Amino acid sequence: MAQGLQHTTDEVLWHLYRQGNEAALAVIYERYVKSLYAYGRKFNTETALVKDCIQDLFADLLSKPHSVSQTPNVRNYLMKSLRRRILAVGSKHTFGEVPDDYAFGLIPSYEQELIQAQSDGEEIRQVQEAIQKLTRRQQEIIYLKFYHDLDNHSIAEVMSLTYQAVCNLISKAIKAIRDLLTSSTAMLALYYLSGGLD
Amino acid sequence: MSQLPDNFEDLLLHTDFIRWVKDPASDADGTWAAWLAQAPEQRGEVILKARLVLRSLPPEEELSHTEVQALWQGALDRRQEREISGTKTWHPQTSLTPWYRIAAILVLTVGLGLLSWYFLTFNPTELQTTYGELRTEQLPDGSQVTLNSHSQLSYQTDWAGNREVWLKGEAYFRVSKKQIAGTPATFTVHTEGLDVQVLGTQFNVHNRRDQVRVLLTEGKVELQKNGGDKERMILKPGELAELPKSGKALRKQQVDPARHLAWMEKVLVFEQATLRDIADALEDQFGHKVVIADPSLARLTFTGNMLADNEQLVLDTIAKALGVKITRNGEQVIVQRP
Repeated sequence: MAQGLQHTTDEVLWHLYRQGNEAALAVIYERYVKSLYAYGRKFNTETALVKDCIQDLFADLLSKPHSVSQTPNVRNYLMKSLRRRILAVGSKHTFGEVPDDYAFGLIPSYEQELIQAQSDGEEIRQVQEAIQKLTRRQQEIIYLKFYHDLDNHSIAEVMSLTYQAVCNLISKAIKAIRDLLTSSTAMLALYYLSGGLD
Repeated sequence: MSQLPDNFEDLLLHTDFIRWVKDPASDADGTWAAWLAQAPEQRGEVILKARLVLRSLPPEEELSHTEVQALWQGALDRRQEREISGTKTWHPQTSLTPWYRIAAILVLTVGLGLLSWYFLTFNPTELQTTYGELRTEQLPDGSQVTLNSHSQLSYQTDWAGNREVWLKGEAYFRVSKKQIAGTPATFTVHTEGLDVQVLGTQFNVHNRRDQVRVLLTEGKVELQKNGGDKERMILKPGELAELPKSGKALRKQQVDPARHLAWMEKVLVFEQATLRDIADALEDQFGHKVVIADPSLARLTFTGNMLADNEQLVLDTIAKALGVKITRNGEQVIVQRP
């Protein structure tokens, strides 16, 4: 698809797309579809459902280029739209309203079994356990930060939270991981110590 | 180096730290590696632990290239379906007799089939430059094209057979020779007024304001007018063919190629150019409408070369040389008597 536009910035592509240039939207699509899909899959969703939501999102964009607004950040806009779609499918709430107890899992369950087989699995398992103990919202924030390099302002935009709430939640989440790791390392040290005494 | 964080929380909130752990190559000057190597034991442990947290994250699920393509096609199809059902809901009262319905369904089906065939086969690729931009790109067959300011080249993605491109604006082509089943494959540049057909050669095509100029620098090309008498013409190196407005006769002359290719060095060349010609060239280069306030000024001529990268400087030079007043007014450039 449109090779000539590939080095164009998001902002310019979005502008072209809003003037009816589909090739520009195709470039945006290619740029972000993988991240969007990976993000969508974290909402404990089926592959088919995420793909369906992505297709729907872009079909919407394709059919109404002139009524889509200018946006300061295309990536945030797309992630936010996809998130709302996925959560709307999973709940009976109307579009835009998001239930508090939505599903979000950073660590898939099969992952644990996989890791336990590895040599340095113990430490990794501890980290993953610590992450799983976080609230879903905290897990999502951490995911956006660690995987997608989003800054706090962008996270706030994508998750429809205030900037201050994001700062608080992320700081709490990282402290919780640290505390859980410290306590489990201490336990581990005790375990080895007692083992050595025997 | 003292500005780098050394506690667990700050490290994990540091974008560059996250980047370094995920991709050590991103730390090109070794800042983070050195930070870790020189850290005293306790701080080193903190850094390692923060790194461990990031390394413990499971990998992302990836879409394959085929899935990426299929999803996009799906979005295109869905849009199409929606537009059709959308038209239906706009006219809910219209009731069709059964025969018309069947006919409508047939038309729709054929239409959809044609549309998806169109998207699959003829999804055109577009190369574009904005004002002041110059770009060289390689085409699927290995030929090279350099696009001048504010130009557009489109071509179909399927290049199994003969090669065809559509040009608006100006471009220089270096066409590579290609064979299909033993016979040379042609390369055709379509413009509104005429087609340029070649086998493998280098040439310049200028297609602006219904005017087409083709300059050949190497090899041989054949031109054919699109309308009217379908006149044909063969060009030899150094010859410039001109089609003033679609419909008029083609004419050719021997020229100095350097003058017509100076745009590739971002140089504007004017030789006895009227203010009208200069205004057109400036519009193509900078994208601002040039208004000549007094029609009698349009016949003034100017000769000289200028670098095309500074609009103000170009305007100042022309104003001085022609003794006119040139002012910028938003998106417009106005030329007046002093």
